[in-house]
Amino acid sequence: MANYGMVINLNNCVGCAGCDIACKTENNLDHDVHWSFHVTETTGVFPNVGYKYIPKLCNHCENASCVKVCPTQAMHKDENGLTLHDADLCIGCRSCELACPYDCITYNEDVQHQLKMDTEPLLNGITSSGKEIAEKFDDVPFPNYNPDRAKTYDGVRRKGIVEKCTLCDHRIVDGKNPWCVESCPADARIFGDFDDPNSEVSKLVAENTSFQLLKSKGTKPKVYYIDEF
Amino acid sequence: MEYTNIGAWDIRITLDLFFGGIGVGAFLLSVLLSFYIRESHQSTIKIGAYTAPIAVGFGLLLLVSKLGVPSKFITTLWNVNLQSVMSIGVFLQTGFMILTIWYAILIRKKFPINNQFRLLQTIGTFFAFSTGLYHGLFLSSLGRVLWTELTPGMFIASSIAGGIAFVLLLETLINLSVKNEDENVETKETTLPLGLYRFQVMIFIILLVQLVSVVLWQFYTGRLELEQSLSYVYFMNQFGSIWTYFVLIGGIIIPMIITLISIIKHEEKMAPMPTMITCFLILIGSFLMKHLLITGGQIALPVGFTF
Ligand code: SF4
Repeated sequence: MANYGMVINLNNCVGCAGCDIACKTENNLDHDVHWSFHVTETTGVFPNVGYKYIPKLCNHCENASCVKVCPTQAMHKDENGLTLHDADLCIGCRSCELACPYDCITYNEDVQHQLKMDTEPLLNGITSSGKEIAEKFDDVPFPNYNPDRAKTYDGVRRKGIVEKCTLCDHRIVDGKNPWCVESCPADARIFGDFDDPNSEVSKLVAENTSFQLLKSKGTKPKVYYIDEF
Repeated sequence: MEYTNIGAWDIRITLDLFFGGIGVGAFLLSVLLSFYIRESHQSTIKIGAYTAPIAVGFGLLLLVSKLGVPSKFITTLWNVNLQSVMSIGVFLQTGFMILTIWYAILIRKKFPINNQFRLLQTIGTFFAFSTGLYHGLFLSSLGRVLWTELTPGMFIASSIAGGIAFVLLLETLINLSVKNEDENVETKETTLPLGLYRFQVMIFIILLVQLVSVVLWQFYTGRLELEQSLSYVYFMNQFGSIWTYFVLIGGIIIPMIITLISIIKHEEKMAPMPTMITCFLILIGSFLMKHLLITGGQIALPVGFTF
């Protein structure tokens, strides 16, 4: 039993969006599906301007509103404090998507991968189109299919249901870090167990000034941001 | 500031809540009349009884068609989440539909007054109110800024007014086409207080409740925290004129004035033309109120509010 969460050290983050891309490749995500993404905000008036780059992902809230509103318990908390989604139970009502204050739940409208339908090659006469590649792969799920992902969740997501970040639960069960943490070149993302006072995440939160997104919503998010500037 | 609309729900959700609401109002009207003034309002009682299951069932069908996996809707009956308003609402709405079918069958059999019928009226009324409340509670449970604690009140009042308007409009049209419009004039057997046996009084009171809840919603939502008030400003920028002209003035205030004139004139029954105009306006207002709220409630806030 653990209480997994994440600390994002904005002092280290360089805003390269590497985590966003890593998440897409690891989890086989389509164009418009973002489990790991970022928002930016420019404030002030020249010359006194500010710029914020905030990496976002599911906050795996302790008091998750998506879990509360889900009529079938498809959205649920697991024994390690992760907020997970059971594709078999989901009816696609999208209540969770509306209830999530962080916009971290996405719906698969019609198809899983637009690239598979794309008939336009990237470079005319030089590259194949997505559709041509898919046909050459025949039965192999496409693109970026990661068989490890399929250990705990659909490797290629179905249409008509929602999906979200799982904190790479398929890696956690093997004692590894989520792939966004592993691939961050600036070590800005730190994953760990908040129930363990000696874990790095617990120490970072205890020793630094941190904030959580929309704390006022009462969802008790488990992604903490450190930002000393 | 840039706003976007999540757009998770389309018009089918509005239609589910609109027709579900009509079923609630039609059923309650039928039960009220069959409880107190059976003989003189037989056609209204019947139209209300038959409208309820059809409207609720149609709404439910539209809702199911909006689900990503419609075939799995039935699983909500055993994969229950007691924290979820929708999960409980599925039971309420399904139960209500079964009761309305049973009620319609008994009404068709010349509605015998016996304990079974009275029990059905009582349980059905409980389910009708619960279903009407569920529609608004479902939205407010999602915690989006425009779906506040006042939404259930707005929805249930609009549903009851809409249901009554639908039944009366249908009845007036039927009466006009068969030239038999005087069936309901006789009201001597009534025991209803406040002159409620007269539809214009009934409609006026419900619209008054709706007016109060809508005005309160506007007043408080526009004055809550920055997040709410900004969403409200955006909502009014987008839909303000439709809201004011069709929901507030057309859907509530004008019908209230028409019914009030009839009440002041001590009319036993409103003439067909004012009745039809009133009912039509109420239905348009009820539909638009629900649709604008459902659409506007899905507004996604500017980036800064998600930090
Ligand atoms: S879309 Fe699926 S996971 Fe989300 S609330 Fe509906 S049933 Fe639950």
